[in-house]
Amino acid sequence: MDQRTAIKPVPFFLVTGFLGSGKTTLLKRFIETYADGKKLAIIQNEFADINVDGRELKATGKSFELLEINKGSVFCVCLLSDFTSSLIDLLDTCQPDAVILEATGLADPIAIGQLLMADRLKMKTYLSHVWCIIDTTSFLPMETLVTRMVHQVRIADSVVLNKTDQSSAEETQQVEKRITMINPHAEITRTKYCDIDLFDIFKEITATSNSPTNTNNINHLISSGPPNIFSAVVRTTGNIARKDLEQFLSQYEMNTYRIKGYVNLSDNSSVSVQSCFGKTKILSVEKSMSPTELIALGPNLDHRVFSNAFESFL
Amino acid sequence: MNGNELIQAAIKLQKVDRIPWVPFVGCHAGYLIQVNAKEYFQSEENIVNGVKAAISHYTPDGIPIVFDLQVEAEILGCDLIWADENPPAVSSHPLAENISLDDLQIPRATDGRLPLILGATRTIRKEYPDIALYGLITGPFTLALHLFGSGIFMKMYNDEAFVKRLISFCTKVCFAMSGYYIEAGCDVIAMVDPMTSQIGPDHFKQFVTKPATDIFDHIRDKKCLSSFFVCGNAQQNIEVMCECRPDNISIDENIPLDFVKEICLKHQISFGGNLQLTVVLLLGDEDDAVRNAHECMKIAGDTGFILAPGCDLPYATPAENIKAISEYIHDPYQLEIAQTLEGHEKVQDILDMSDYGRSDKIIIDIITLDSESCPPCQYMVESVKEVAPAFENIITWREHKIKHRESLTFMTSLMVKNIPTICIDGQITFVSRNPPREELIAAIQKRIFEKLNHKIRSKKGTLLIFGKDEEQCNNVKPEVERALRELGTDVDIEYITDEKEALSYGITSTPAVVTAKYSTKSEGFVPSIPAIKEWIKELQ
Repeated sequence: MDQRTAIKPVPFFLVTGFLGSGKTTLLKRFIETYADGKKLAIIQNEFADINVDGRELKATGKSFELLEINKGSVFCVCLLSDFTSSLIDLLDTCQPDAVILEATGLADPIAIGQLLMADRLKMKTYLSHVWCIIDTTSFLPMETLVTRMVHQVRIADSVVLNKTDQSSAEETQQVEKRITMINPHAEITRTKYCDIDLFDIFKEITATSNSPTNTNNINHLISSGPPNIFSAVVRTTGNIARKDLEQFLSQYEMNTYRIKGYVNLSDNSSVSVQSCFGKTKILSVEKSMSPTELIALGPNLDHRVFSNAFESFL
Repeated sequence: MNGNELIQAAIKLQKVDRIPWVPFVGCHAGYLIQVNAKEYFQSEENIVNGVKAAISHYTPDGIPIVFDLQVEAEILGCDLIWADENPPAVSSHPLAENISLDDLQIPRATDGRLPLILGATRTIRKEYPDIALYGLITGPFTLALHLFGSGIFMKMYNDEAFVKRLISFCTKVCFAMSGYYIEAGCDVIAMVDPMTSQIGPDHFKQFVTKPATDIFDHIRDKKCLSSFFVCGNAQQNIEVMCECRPDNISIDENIPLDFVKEICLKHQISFGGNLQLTVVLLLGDEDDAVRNAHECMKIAGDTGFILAPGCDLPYATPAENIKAISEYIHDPYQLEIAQTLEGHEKVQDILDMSDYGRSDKIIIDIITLDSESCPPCQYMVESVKEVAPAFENIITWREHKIKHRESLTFMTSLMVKNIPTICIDGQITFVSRNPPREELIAAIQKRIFEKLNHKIRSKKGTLLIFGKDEEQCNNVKPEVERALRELGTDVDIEYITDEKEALSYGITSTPAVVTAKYSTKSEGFVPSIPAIKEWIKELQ
């Protein structure tokens, strides 16, 4: 058995963003930056017809694995089943160093995150980083219309404000303000043509751009054995008291690489949570209709135990 | 109550004998009859056979005829891409390609694939009068998206009038489609509008509320029941969906069921769905499936709830997973077992059973819910009790009621997953079925022979003959061989002429005879130090 697939799950990167925001352009950046040294697997699942057959990506002339799913209108979780089996095949046969999914502009990132926790997948891959690409020129009118855009911003690690050359400074500032209100933890970058600095995505899971550099804690986790990285998700309508949330996080923060998400508190307010290697930040956000959603990433994390532990505080 | 009556009662929030169950079998029916999705959705015969197979496997209370949201779009000029394991996908949008909305005609019952779908509906209606048939129509918002493409979102922003006109046309398509299905014999019309999960409640009210309300009123006027299916994270819209007055709302795993229950029941509307399609039904096992069904039913309660997957079952969903849910919902004891096993994952203290069943006696363990209250468990215990006298002093049997924590630990340690189960010497032998007397006796006898065989193989004796040379050994050999012949014993003979080796046995004067008896203590694995110590003690 290949050692890499046996003990080291492949990082999975998710690129979200509404139709036409620039996701494919970011993918091209990935390919141009890494395809010469690493084996990249790209999954495209685009709703629109512009990028038929991954033509734009192939134009880079670089070598990478391309998997296209369904190639048509994908909007249901049921159609993700195709994605699951294709992903397993891809991981087994190509043994890539990283998988990058360009999600359909209408996809729910949490649903994709949950899929990666399936028994057949969790030993093979883990959700490492989520980018959300924003078309700065149309975000403000569209976000009130398309709820999914807000979901995508909420769950992103990095938000890329694209096409800033076509928006006024004032508009860009307003968009940035709005993004911060939705997701105060996201790292926001202003750019055009998705021309952003890509951090070294292969360095280690600990090297994500918004991780604090608390090396003691990092060493504690890294030295604890081979990186059996698992993700766990809590999704519940229950409200939790702030002190209980803090207690829950203190139970897990030292033994997880990252916990992030949104929690509805019992005082009827909502907070955004980000915890990286023992350093936890809880920030207030506007109250939304969404349930509490937390995603955790860590060694030997058990989804059910994690979820039950949270529920026990409700 | 038959299936249809259960569904009707649940939808009307009336008391039900048990929670009804509707597996949303679409392209998965193709998998059941081993044809691909394309062959399935394009053949009346395949659809009839597929639905029949699903009914026979899953004993549903209700079932959809065809789960394909592209039927109307195809008739209206959208190109389709066919897949082997998925419903087709729309790949072109006529209204984005110079075709005018005014040119589109309401589909007739003779258009596209409708004749074969409606034909299949009539055949299945005739054959299964007791099962509720669901006719699925594409909701107006999703159909509008098929016809115009994703540019519709921008259009909603800058050309509200056009989008409203388009949705109004799609609403008329829904009227026609629901009429065809009702005429063909459907009991419930499910309007499936997954794309509404993309928009918020304000825009839902602006664009969807009126058309959807009109469609549900239309279905009601035709004396039929309606359901509003949505998949994706549409939590924000549940309240406004209720305001459209469907008879039922069906959702997928993206929306917490407790939330849906609260909102729907407040509006006096039944609800359903929520079984996890991919992680559990497609990728999990029977245990996961039953546990998920149990969780859904526990949260939903027994008023106004229909157990169903969140959406169309994936093509290659293991049939065993869906069968497990079906068995669970039809068997009240399975429900009790699931409740008892709820703390299952909390069993941390797993026993080391690697040496279990090595004693001289045969141990028969029966894992039950409780033989006093659960008839299947009772019959299994009685079967063992009945054969036990025939094996007096050879077998020991005991019942482990999983209501007790230690029994749960025992069950988990033996890796037993189903109740009731018979284990013989720790081996899972009969699962969830009561073995006939002869079969049980045969299984016990088989184990007795295995043990006997092992005992014979593992015990052996050796006679060592020491001599200063071969000649001296040969002097002793005939006497030894004769003694063995007279006893009929199978003992190995070894000749040792090496002086140093003889000394190691404490032999100083030859010829000499030493007997050695040994037994195999371990085979095929590295024994633990405490075990080796015990063996050494036996020698002293």
